[in-house]
Amino acid sequence: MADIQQELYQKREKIYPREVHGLFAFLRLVGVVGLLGLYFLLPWFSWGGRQSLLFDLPERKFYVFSLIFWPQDFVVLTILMIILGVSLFLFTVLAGRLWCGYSCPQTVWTEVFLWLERIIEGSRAQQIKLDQAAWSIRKFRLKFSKHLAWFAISFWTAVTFVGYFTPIRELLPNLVEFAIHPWTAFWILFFTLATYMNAGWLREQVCLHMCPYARFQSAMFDKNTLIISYDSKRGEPRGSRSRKINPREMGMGDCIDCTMCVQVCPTGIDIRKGLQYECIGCAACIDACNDVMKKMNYSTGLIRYTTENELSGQPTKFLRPQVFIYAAILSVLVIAVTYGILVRTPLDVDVIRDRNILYRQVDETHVDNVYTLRILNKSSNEYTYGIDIEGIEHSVLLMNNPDVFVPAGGVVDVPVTVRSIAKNMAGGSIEFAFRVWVLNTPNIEIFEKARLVTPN
Amino acid sequence: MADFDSQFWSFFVGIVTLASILGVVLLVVCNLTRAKVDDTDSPQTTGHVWDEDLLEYDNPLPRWWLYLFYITLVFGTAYLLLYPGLGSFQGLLNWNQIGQYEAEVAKAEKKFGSIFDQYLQADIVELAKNEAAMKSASRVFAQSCAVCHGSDARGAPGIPNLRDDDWIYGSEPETILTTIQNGRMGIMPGWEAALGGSEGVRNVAEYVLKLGSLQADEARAQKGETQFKTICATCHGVDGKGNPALGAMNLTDDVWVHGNSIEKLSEIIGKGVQSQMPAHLDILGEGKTKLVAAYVISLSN
Repeated sequence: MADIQQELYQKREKIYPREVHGLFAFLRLVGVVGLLGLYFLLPWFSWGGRQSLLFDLPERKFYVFSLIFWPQDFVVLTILMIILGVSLFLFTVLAGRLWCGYSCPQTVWTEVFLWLERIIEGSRAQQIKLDQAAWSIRKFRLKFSKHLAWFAISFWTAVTFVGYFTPIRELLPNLVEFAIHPWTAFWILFFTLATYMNAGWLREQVCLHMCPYARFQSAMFDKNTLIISYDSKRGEPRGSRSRKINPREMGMGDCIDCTMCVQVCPTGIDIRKGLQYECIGCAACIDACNDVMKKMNYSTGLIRYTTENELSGQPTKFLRPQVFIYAAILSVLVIAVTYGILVRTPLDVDVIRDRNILYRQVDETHVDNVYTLRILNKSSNEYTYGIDIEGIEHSVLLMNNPDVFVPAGGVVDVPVTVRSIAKNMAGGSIEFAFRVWVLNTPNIEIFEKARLVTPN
Repeated sequence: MADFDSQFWSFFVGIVTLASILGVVLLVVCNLTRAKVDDTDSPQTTGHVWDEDLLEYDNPLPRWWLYLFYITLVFGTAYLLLYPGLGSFQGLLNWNQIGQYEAEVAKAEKKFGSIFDQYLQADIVELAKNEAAMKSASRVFAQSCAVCHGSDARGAPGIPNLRDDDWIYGSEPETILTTIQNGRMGIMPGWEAALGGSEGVRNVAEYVLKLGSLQADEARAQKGETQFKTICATCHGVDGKGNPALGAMNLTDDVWVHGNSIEKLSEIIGKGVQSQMPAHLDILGEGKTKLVAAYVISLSN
């Protein structure tokens, strides 16, 4: 028995999902069009003379509409990521893999590729037939146009992606003139190939073998989570029959075993076998089955969004502790990040003490402490700043120029000297603060701690 | 691999690396198939059972997984061919970190050099009034000069303040530029022996205090004056006003680079002091040194 050999690495069986129409197919279409629309159009909008969304990596500045984020604001990105994570948890606990079925880029781009495939090669049956047929001019022409179309959409995806990091209105003309930076060219090529491979060839394999979310989302399911499920009590025993007979009299369930649910499945599973990790929750089988049920004059919903409790005749409880906990965490985070962005001071100051001497004895009475203040104007306006010292006596601030001009998004280093009458002060190291504020704009100010060293 | 005397370790590392790659190739190629336990359609399991009934599927890996192994092997081999890694083999690209560093420096020089070259012909005094130039000059100063002279350029003990109007070697723009480009070696010899021991030194120190209009012991200062005028005056001048050509300091003003306590003055007169301003032409180049000279002038005005 053990001498039967099998391949250790299994070749992928191509899945030909059948076209499906219905409520959930429509919802996914809305998702695809909406999300792709956002993705492709957003970089083209301008805000105050610059691209509304631009992540300028060489300059380390991230423009989001009226806001400019600096690397120092990284915590905002962190919280946004956590918000996305917690939202995923909340939606998954409530309604399963909504993310996978309707909004994941893998799903969205695969939908577009499937659509192109259908336009060029025809229906599921025609596609299967074409793939089995020997090579002919027609087959070559169809395959060639399909891959060309796939490449075109991949290329545009890549250009748009790079357009979020390089101003897209400059990128395009440069692209036409072949005047782009080699690294820009590399990333465009990279994302073209990545999109083409992912949405054209890898498809469900990404969900089955690569995606970590796919696996841990299932871990959040419980008996009250909405899942797409086949109602086997109602469906079994399955079997084909004439439309005229009454299945109950024949001892049959409602499932006519037409395998439509299997044919539409983008991951190639049979939903009638129960909940499987391959199921991305796209609900294509619901639409397909409902169609058949209508044709048979049976009631719809043999495959439907349901819960394990409902299937076993128990009441479903949507509002349960983990829903409240995730919702609470999510609300706190959203409020925190909104508040944080609203009250954000578009100004940052670093105090850098001179390292050559601790202090400078100027004369009998005076001692100097020297600092460099690095002023970061994180706003999109140019400002003139004032600098002062707070919380220290017997000291004056010496500066080249009392008003410091910093352009929008600029950084200026200002050497400053604090001259103190040492004998009137406690010895050693004294803490005080630099106050930096925008002249004539009282609400933009910042206090930055510093240390002053005196003899004694 | 210059750390080793013989080529043995180089060969050892190279051979072990190649043998490992070959081993991995064999491992992959010899394991393309496996025995199927039964010929039913039901999925094979690993045979392990946990918690009484928990089984683990033993499904075949996806084919692209195998391709990833091939890609990794090709990449690894190509990398070892192109870059150093196989013992002391330098790689076909002849890459090394020094070469990369030099290439980066050359690139930066090409990009930023022209910014400073535009100041080559400029007049230093005019340059000091050019706001944009002074802005970039302040960055060069912060980078190269502030570490000794301070961010505010007011100096430190033994390091001159650049913001007053006292210039040890003279205030002409060209002199300042020379100081920055070629550096200075300031030498004040020790005179303890010539002055007849610490008493003589103390007397001269008291006279120096008097020259600087500071409180001094009048009797000692008078004794010191005679010695000052025979020994010290050679460089510092009979009136103590110094000599910029030699870098001999003016002792009559209120600028005291090394301090003005009687102890400090005695130490300098007795044991001497050497101070060095390093030459910056090789470090910064013509354009930047000129810019810094202008910046220093702009600070003292």
